[in-house]
Amino acid sequence: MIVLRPENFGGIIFNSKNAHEIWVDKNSYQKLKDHFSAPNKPESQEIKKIYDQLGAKGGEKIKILPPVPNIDNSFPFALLNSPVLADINITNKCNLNCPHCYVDSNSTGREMSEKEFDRVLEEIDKNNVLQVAIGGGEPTTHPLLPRFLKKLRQKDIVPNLTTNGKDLKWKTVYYMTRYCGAVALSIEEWGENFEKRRKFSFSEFLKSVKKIKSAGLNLVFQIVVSKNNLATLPETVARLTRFQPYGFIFLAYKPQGRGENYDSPLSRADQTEVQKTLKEILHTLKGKTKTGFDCCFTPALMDIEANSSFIGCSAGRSSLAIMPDLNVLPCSFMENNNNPANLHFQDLHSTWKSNNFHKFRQKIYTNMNSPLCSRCDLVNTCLGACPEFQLVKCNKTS
Amino acid sequence: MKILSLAQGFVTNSSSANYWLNNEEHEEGGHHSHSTTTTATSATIASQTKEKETSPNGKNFETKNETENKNQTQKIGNNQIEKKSPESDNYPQISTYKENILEGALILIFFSIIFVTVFLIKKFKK
Repeated sequence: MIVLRPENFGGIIFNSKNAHEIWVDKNSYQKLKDHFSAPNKPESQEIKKIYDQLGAKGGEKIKILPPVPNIDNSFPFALLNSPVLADINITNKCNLNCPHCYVDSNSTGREMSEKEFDRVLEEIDKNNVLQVAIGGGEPTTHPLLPRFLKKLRQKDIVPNLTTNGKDLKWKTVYYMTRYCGAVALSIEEWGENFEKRRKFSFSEFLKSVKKIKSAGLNLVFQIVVSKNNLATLPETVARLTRFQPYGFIFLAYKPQGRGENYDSPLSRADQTEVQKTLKEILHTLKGKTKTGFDCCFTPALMDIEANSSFIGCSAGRSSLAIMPDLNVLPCSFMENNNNPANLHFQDLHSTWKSNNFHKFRQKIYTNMNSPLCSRCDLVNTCLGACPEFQLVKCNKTS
Repeated sequence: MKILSLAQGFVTNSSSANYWLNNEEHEEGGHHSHSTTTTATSATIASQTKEKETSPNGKNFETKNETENKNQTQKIGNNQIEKKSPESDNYPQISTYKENILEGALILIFFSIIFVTVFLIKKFKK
């Protein structure tokens, strides 16, 4: 399905089959809207190119979303009228007790009820969210996960999911295969080191990898990178590449939750080593699979891939996080306190426009105006650094 | 057509939005040139809504944007291998799952036949 979503700068075209997403200006959006509104209209060369970028063949179902109210943007960075992406943490429960967990998950915790999930669904649908990243805790422990995935698909929202791979049943794989765009498996290190850290059999993890692969699911390896696993990272990546995953996502380690005193963020590592390792990884993965970094990584990548599509912090600009208690935060790595908005009492759009979110955007803006960043040519792409933590450094700040 | 930003991939963590490297250039004949222009900076997109970009404290980012636009013109390639999704007609996933079950069932039947045959042979020998 091709989804057209209007925005104050023009609009977003999204192919839900492969999650290719294009942001276009007003004129282009109008042209595309006209084209898609009129069935059997001949395709111009320009339209064909858009189809190319979308990885679409023509003949897909078209959905034109209604506009949501505009949001005033006084900042010098893109700010969408509503989020395109939402992290939904459906549970705080987890079947592991990892020492680096940034949300302090364990066997006891809160699960989102079906009624609460329906509330979330209603709000994200109303706000034209295109994709969600389901997490936790361990989302596969939630007994209602299959229903949640199905409901998301019924609203034409693409669900993606992150799991630790423990006790992954064929039934769960079946539902993920049926409804998810991609499924990520979390891993930091290979073999013995993995077991030491997670207290979870590595061979069971590999079984889950094979299950997901044999089901034909888009498998992503999601790796949290810290000072402590930097040295083993190239080897871990090289070994995992053999499974021919859909992609790799590298997340910068956040000193939050149980992880506060376990690992150290990359900002405390030798920056020459960080740059060298990142280059090595990109070289290993080039042409083999998709490679993604979370936006927190952007400053460290600017010197390596300045001409790529990396853009700084997306939190509160194009994405947000919804916690199991329906608290809404700009970013899932933030601490769930300081009176955040809650979907039990507020709607999502007023939350997006709220003072809390404005304050977060103001922090991004303050970072961009720091003495060092304000003089940098790349500040409009990098957007300073993470406004919450000191996670990575660029060549200038290091 | 003016493409302001392009992202190609499912997002498993919202903070990783739009950060897929476009690095599959060897897989489908390399990059194609396009007449579409792409300026991927966040500031460029922000400035689409306003004639003149003035920040909350009055600082003007316009000059920087212009430089940025020149530096950041993004290479867009028609180079992503199409991944099948659950919506596609010939999606192999469910059938693969069924094949696994079928395979298991066949193995079970095979061993059952051997077991029954051996059992019957032993019984008739007696």
